[in-house]
Amino acid sequence: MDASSPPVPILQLDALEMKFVTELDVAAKLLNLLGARHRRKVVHAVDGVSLTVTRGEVLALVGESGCGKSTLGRVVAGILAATAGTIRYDGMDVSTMDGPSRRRFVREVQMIFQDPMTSLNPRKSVRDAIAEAPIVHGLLAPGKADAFVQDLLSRVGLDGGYADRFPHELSGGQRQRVGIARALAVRPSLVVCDEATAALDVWIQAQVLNMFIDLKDEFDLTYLFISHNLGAVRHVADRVAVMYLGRIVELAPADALFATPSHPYTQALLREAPSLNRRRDFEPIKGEIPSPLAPPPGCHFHPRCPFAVDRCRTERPELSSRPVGAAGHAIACHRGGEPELAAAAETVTSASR
Amino acid sequence: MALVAPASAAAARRPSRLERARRWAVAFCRSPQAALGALLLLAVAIVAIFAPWLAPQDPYDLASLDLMDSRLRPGEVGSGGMYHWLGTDDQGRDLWSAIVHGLRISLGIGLGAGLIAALIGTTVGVLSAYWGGAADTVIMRVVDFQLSFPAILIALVLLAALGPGIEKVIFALVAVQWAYFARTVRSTALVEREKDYISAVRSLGIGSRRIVFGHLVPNCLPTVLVVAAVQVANAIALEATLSFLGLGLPVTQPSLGLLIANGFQHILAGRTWISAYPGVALVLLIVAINLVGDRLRDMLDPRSGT
Ligand SMILES: Nc1ncnc2c1ncn2[C@@H]1O[C@H](COP(=O)(O)OP(=O)(O)OP(=O)(O)O)[C@@H](O)[C@H]1O
Ligand code: SF4
Ligand SMILES: [Mg+2]
Repeated sequence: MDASSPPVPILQLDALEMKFVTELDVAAKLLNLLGARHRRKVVHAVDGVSLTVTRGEVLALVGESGCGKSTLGRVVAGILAATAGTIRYDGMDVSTMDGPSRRRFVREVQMIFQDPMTSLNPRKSVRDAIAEAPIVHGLLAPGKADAFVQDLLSRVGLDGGYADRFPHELSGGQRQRVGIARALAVRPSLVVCDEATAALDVWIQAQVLNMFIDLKDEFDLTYLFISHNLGAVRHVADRVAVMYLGRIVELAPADALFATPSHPYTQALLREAPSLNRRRDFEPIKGEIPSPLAPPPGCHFHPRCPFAVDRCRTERPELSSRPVGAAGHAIACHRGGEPELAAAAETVTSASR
Repeated sequence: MALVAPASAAAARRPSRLERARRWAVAFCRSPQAALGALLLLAVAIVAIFAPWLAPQDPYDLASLDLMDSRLRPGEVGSGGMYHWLGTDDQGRDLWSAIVHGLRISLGIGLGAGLIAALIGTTVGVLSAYWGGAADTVIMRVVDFQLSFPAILIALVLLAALGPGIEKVIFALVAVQWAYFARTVRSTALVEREKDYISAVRSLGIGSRRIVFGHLVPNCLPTVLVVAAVQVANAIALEATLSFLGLGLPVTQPSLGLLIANGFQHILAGRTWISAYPGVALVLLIVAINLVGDRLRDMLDPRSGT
């Protein structure tokens, strides 16, 4: 590889899919024999996602509740196994990894969870929660656990005295810090933050968010930053991926996304959050969120899209940077690049100023 | 600004283990019935442990019994000058001694069967929930099938085939009761398995065995404890029933059930004490366990907020 070629991305997702299938129970099967039409339920939570994350960046993933953000994050973190598609970590296909490379992948990709109430084992002390995994991986001698835990706690802004505490003795923000320390304990490279600040008070949110930024430099981290909070995203993200019903509909550098939101869904999202600086969570856009059990054909967004044409109802738009005409700014829309959409982008951004 | 400690070190000290145990005991006794139950249970435990010293007579030593002393009324003095404050049975056995030893047997069988059933049932239930899929379906079908028969029926059939004896009774009770543990613990484990702390340890690369026994099982223990309280009481009642029916323990090892059975034939003759006192002991034991068990459930149930 010569010096001019770009470095290998830390993470490459290619046509990744995650389907949840709820099988019929015996009663439903029997009723089907008698002529009933119970179908097994299939939720296509992640529907053909292709993404690249480069080392050291913060890629934000935004979208309404239920669009599959957490599922994508869990697949990346190895908690769920994808039903189709490939994940490459550091250029290597995860599904063919074995032995040491697999262990390295498992260890280097960590996740921080949304709900601080359930993300810590209620029966383990802070010390055990943090020290268990590095001891299992042989990164830490059991005798040195105390100093190790103290050091990590101080890096996430907690006093060492918390090592002996149990989760129920901690506040939400403190628990979240412990969850972060637990992830850092195995020296990760890629951290999936799944709405890691959403459950916290606004003031604590800001603190934890700033801590994420500091830790990123301190530990050389790459973030997949899942969030509802567009203000936070604007604050921390280098690039933003907008997700709708399992698919990425827009992918752009953060500045470009907020300056010229080019997909009708992104435009609607930003319009719903007029003052991003007030860190308001966006509200649902007009029209029902379609059921993920029966997503509309063609472009999933067409029932709610003001620009929808016939083609949108039948043909799935591919993610492409051609319509926008700026490098690294891609949307999945049949009408991308048309003057109407560009005009709409203009109204969104002027309103938010 | 980010890395400020949000609380001082002084606030981070937690109370000692002893202090926490004391607080827990105080909270437990906030229910007077439960306190009474615990007291009773403590008394029974002491009686059971120190039975050989508390009983004036060894009821298993047939040589020490004298038929002359049979069916003495409570308060009468026997041939050897022994004061029988609860009377004697039809073989001349001092009832108080028999009850003390009977309690020991009943409690021992109940705890033994409950403990083994809890071990087996918890392991099966947690693994079933953790594996999911076909293994889970098969295991739970077996459990449902077994639970569709009355416990007493299964135990009767087993003991009819095996014959009497303490180990056989315990075996039959375990065979009946593991399924209750398995089913209840599985449903708790299913809930725990979905919580993020399990996802977290998975993503940390911690192995399955550690996840199951280090994380899932400890979080199912409150459920196990609550089921255990009920099942120990049930085991004692079941053993008494089986012995009463003549299928449990041999006549040489009179448990409470057998004592009640022995006295049963004398009730119409007016000699009610031979059945009544062992009966009272049995009822007290079961009630005490249930009172304590109910309180444990209240306190360990996460929804109760204590
Ligand atoms: N284990 C599961 N079994 C079945 N369906 C699931 C499972 N997990 C998620 N889903 C479904 O997949 C879809 C996407 O869920 P996901 O949690 O990824 O959404 P999300 O974007 O993270 O939402 P939120 O913002 O509310 O966290 C939802 O319709 C959800 O019901
Ligand atoms: S493809 Fe059609 S329906 Fe979908 S966002 Fe574009 S214009 Fe709207
Ligand atoms: Mg989510």
